[in-house]
Amino acid sequence: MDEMVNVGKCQNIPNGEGRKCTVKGEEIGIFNTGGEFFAVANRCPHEGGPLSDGILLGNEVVCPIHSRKIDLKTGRVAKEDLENKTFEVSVKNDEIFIHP
Amino acid sequence: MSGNFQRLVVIGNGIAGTGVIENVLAQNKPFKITVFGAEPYVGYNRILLSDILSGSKELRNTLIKDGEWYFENKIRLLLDNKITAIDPVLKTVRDADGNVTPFDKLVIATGSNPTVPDLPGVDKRGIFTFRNMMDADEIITFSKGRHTAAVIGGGLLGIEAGISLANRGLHVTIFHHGDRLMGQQLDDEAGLILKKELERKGIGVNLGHSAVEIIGNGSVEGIAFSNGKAYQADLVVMSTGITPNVDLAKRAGLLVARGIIVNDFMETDHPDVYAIGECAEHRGKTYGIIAPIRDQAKAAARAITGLNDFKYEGTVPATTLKVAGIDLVSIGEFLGNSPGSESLVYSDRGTSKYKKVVLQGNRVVGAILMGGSADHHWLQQLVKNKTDVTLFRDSLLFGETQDKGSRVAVLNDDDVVCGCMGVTKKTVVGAIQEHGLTSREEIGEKTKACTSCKSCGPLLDQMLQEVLGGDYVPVGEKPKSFCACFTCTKKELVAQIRTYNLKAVSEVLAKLGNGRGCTYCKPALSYLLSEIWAGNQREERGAKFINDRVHANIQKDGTFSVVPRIYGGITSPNELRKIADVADKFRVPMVKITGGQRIDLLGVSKEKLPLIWAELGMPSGHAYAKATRTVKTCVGSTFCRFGVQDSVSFGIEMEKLFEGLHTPHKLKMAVSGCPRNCAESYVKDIGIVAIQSGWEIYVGGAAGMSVRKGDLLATCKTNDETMRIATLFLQYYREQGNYLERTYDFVLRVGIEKIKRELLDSESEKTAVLLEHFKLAKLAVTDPWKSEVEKPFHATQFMELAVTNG
Repeated sequence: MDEMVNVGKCQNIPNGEGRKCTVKGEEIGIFNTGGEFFAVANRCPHEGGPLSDGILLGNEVVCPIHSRKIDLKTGRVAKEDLENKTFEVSVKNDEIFIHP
Repeated sequence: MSGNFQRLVVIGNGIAGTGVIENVLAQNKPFKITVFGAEPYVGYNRILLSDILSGSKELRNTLIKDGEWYFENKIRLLLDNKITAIDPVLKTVRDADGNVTPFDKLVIATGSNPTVPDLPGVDKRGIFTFRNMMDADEIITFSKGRHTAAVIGGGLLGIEAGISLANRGLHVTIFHHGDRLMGQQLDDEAGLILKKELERKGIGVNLGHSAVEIIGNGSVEGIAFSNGKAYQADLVVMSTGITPNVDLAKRAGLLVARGIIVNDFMETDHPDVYAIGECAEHRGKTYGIIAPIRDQAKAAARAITGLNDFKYEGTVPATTLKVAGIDLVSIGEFLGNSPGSESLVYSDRGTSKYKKVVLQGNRVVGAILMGGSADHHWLQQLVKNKTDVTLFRDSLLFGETQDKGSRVAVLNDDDVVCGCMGVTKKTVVGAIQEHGLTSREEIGEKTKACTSCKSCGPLLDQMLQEVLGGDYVPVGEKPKSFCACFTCTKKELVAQIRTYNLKAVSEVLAKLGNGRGCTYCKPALSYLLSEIWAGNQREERGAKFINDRVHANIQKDGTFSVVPRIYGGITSPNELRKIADVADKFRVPMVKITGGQRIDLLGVSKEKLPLIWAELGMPSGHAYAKATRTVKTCVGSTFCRFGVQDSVSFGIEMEKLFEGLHTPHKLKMAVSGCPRNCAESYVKDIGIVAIQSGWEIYVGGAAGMSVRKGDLLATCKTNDETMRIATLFLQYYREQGNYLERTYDFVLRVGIEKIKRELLDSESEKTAVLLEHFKLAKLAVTDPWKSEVEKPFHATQFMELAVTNG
């Protein structure tokens, strides 16, 4: 699984926001927490809210639908026995790559 | 008629007679008025006789009107001049001097006479009735050098007389034939508490004592009772009831029962002859209290001048007794012994507090209050209005203040709030305002209030709250910080943002907060910065909720809803066609009419938003934002047959003026064309209601998770004035409201009285500043949809990232 997917330039995702993309039918949310990028499955494991539309607090994203907090590093949902899929992200020459 | 004038003759120069005259004068009709008074004094307030007797007031303090008033109003006042006969046919009265005075209209206001029982020895020296100024004078003179006084009769007047005599230093005993004091106003329990209170003041009370003989040789020396007992007394006041003074009327052939029979216009059975006050009998009732006189005088006067537009329809008897510490109120059917009635009772003999509310079904029909009469007016209104009290029955005994939170509002400026130090409400409020006081202790330093027994502490807290509004911090509580990410309060935060010239949320968090922020403070700071810098802040979309990043309302499935602005809910066929075309073209899953009189396109994906906006060409409705929403209107005077103002035009004008402004929480508005309130203005954040003479402005209404009728902020005559005050409220809320605080919480926190003080003084500098701020904020407003269509804030804001080699 060394395949990497280019999802475009860093400036496409402003500091403190997320964007989504679809890779092989899978919706992924990519986040810029202040120069550092993270990627998780875009639908909240709670009830499917679009995480790329959430507010970022440090390395957590808050789902816009029911305010569940998801740790972008571990995928863990705060205070719930739920976990979200995470993806490795790398940046090369100002381009963002996801490792699906 | 005599020339152009009608001749009005009034018999009786007390509160009732004077009341009629005042009401007639107020109408500026041509009347020549003559008043006959049997006593040699310009009319005085009989209620204050006990103050004369106790020595706390003099005659001149009790006058209803002075001589000048009669002179200025050209009223002929004939004092010490008793009317001896009325001729209702020839329409004349004859006075004691034999003079005959003709009238066109006659008012009989002769009051009542004390009833004196026919006892052996009742004509001895030292036996007095207590009904007029002469009685008071004679008692005072006779009491000098005497020590023991007896009052026969334990009714309201007897007790007042007893207390007054005790205040003169006499040893007083009240003898009552019945088994409870004030049988006309109190039940057994209240009577008992009153007895105890009187005894505590050193006044003896003997119940079940019917006098049978006055003992003495020339002057009174004692009284013998039917139970075989006898008591010594130097002075006796007979207070065994009053009888309507109807002799004159009877002799004139007027219809008389217990009193002179009158109809709802206070007319007797003779045309042009009226009777009011204690001598009149209305619907089978005579009254011995002052309460009915106001309405009776008004009804009579408006009949006399020919208006006949006000009916007197009876009075719920209500008595208040306030003599040296005894605070007592009795309303309506206080006994609660009629079939089907129930009584709620609170009784504390230890502190002499008693409260009883009598219910008949779901309505209050009577009450007794002892040792605290703050709810007097409220309970009386409940009785009078026959209010259904089902919903607050369980808090009835705790009073209106339980609901409204504040006892301060019912206090008059001159009411003493600190009994120990004799400090009035006015003094305390003045000190808080002048010196910016914030605690009981500071009030104590400036005014001495609450420096002795400290029982007025809670009341002072309420006054602080009332005056300081949102700035008030309860004892023992620290001022609240902006949120957990900050240690400073909102006020301090605002000051520092200005000092350090911070323009972006991340800067504020880094410099003043914990650097991270939370879901409350990030959007809150976004709002705060836009409010402080009026368009000159540095926008960080990431700090905002998704709705405010993409100007649409996120739905549970991640799609969005689009609500274009439809000013005042008025649309057109073209606009509707355009919306329909857009809905077709973009296959919008649901098109819904909203509660705010507009149209919602639901189920739109984020990517399509800018395309739909461009196609619609309509301004944003801000349905997604903490901002001014729509102004709901009814058709008002444009079409409605009940409309009294043009609510549509006003609503549209208001919506355009307020459009695009962000607020601490969403702000709903409405304009109704009449008080039928079809636009639901009473339950909006800002609700305007048309009345015949202009507009009423209600604020802090709600009909969501909370339901609350707004508070009346102002009543205005003109559209401009209404708009100005609504604007002031909006801006005041924008500046003083906490983020996510709806106006219904805001108005309760700050207090409507403070808001009125801040906004309604049109001369004040504060309002000028608010209007200036509003202007600046408004200048910074752009339509977010138009802006995004013309020049997107961020290139990928609405887009999905393109994936290569995926």
